[in-house]
Amino acid sequence: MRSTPVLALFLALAFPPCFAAPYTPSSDAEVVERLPATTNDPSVRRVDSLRKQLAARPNDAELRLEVARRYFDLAMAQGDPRYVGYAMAAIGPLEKLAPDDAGYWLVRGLLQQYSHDFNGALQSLKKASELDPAAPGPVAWRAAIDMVQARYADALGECTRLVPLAHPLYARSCTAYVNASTGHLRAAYDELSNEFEEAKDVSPQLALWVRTRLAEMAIRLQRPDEAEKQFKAALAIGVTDQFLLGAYTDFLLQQKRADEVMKLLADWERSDVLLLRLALAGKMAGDPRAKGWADQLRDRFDAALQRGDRLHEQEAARFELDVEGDAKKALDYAVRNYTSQKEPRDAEILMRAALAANQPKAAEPALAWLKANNYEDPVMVSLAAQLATAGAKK
Amino acid sequence: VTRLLFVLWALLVPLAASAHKPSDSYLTIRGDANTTELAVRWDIALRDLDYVLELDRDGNGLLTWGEVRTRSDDIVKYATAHLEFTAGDKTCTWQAGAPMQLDKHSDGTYAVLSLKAVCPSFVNGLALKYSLLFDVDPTHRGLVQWVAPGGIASQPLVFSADSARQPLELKAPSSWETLRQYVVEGVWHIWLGYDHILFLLSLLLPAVLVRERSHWEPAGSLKRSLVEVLKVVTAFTLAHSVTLSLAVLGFISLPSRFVESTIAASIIFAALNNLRGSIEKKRWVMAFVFGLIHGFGFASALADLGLPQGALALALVGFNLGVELGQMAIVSAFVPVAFWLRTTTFYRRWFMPIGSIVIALVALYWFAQRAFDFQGPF
Repeated sequence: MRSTPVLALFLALAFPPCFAAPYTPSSDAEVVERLPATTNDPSVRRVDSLRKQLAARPNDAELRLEVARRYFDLAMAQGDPRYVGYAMAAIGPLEKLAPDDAGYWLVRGLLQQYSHDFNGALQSLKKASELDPAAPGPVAWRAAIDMVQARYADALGECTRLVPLAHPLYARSCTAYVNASTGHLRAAYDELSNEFEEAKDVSPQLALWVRTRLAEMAIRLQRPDEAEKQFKAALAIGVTDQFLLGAYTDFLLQQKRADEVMKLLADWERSDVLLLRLALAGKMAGDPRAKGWADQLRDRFDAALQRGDRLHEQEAARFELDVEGDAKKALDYAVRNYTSQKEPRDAEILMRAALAANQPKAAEPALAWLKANNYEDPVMVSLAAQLATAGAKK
Repeated sequence: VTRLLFVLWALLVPLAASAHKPSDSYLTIRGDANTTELAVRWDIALRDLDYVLELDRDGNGLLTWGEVRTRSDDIVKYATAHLEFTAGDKTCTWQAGAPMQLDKHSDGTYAVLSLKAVCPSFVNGLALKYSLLFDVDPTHRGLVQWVAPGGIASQPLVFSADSARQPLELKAPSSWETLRQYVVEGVWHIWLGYDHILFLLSLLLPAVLVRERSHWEPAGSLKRSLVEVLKVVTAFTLAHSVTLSLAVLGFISLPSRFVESTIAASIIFAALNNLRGSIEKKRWVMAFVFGLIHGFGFASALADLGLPQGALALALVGFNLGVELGQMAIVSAFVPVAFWLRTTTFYRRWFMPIGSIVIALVALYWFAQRAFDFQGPF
């Protein structure tokens, strides 16, 4: 009961009454908010100035598209969904203004996939390819969506279509990525490593992507030293990328190196994805900040639920399972998430939550995927074995 | 370069879906059937306001209170231009509200607007059209808590670009429902308002003991302890019920800073008294005197919930009843344990003195916060 006095006393000490109440700062000089447009972020400044130009020339379709693209890049780099909203607003009028612009349909497709409208996104990207058959972007994105939804044959088809359209390493890494998910992990890893070694004129972004994927494959091959080497090299490229940070910190967490996670992600509380890693690391290390991180995340997931958002379910499931220890809730999230996203990570959290909640049957879609594609990952194979023992159909 | 960048991002898509918090604003809207007014508390992210109104005048990426405060008229104008109540076919008109304040949400600082809209009548139904920020961010949402006239329970509504106009349900809850809601609020208030619990605990800690030659000894009988508890609780209850009623009915009002500081002081006093035992026989008097002040605290909590005109008595009775129920739950959980432990050295030598010191320290901290506006780390 929350009314027992000892508990009340404890609560009183732990949380003195600081109910969220409106306040009036005591001085005009008090800094009340830090905006993302700080002087040391030129990309934010640049898009801000473009947006102001756009306000003066609302019918400039080129400019509109440019603004939208830049906002989308920002959203991807920083994981801030407001930028996605700004991008959507920017392209809104283009359906009438520039219906034959392949660039418009590409950005539209990207925004749709972001909102998990995968079918709409595939259609927009198809339209983009029809209007501009030489553009690699729409093809690569279709491959990516096929991968998220575990349609590996379709993904492979798109990878092949990429061959004549971009730097050869794109098509090769696309193919290797698919093959690594369909029972050819070791060969894909070796091939991609070699091709990457030999490739010339690789952009920093592509190098970062390839290294991240190689690192992930190395983890699955149980070669942590190689994974570490790839992650470190990817970080050394110097491109800010929260996906790389997410993958690397997951690896560090797996290796129980919580202190490094907290150090690396010191300034990343803004990102839900990375805040989750901070909360996990904090919990693992018994850090005093762990509670604050968990509270923040809980607030954000509650807020997402309130507004009817379904974009964070994989993270929410991990949070419920590993931070809150609520297997039932975690499983609810993981099951719902797996209806739209079927990536290895999604399968893994579904299996873990099903095991923890002692409902092995709930993981059957993930087990079916694992078996059908012969996905190689010792962690998942072990989870599958435990689930089978617990009574799931393998 | 951009094109290649896109190709690259494409392959990163699996992770791309998760992110920070999207843009939301939070509204609590209360209807008042008698005055046909709508009281609106509206929290809008400063970051969003900056995006449309350029609050960051010096462009250094840091918003100061001065930069925000001097634009409060613009902010209110912009906001009210994007929120429209219609009663029947008539538009409700905005009236000036309290000065803008700030509040922290999980993703940053928000401006808090306190607004009032006056409608011609509620007879032909009420609807809300919300259009804030949809033009610059179609993923924005307005999260509304609608409190119908006569009720305190709120109904959540989500306004999006696709559901920008929605009716507001006007059916007031039944009397029983109103009473029930206020009882529940009363219980919550005493459980979550730690200051009342701590005051009560300070008075109850020694109730199972008697003071002999400046030492605490276990009370001999349960009856004696229960009588002691009953005296204290009854005195506290009587006192705070009187001032709660007087304050709610508008007969007396005291500045809240004084009330809150005195409540904190009362806890310090009661807790320290357990160490010295100066007031031993007449603890109920202390309970009564300070109970008067705690009543004003309850009154402001009740006022924050909103007082339904026409059901004022119901709200008052319900809230008071809830406070007493919550208090009884605490007492009935505490007393048996204390009585059981009273003969132990732990209780007399450790739990009571150290517990009292801790309570006094917590209250001292509150006192500093409330009396001197001291912004501590908590």
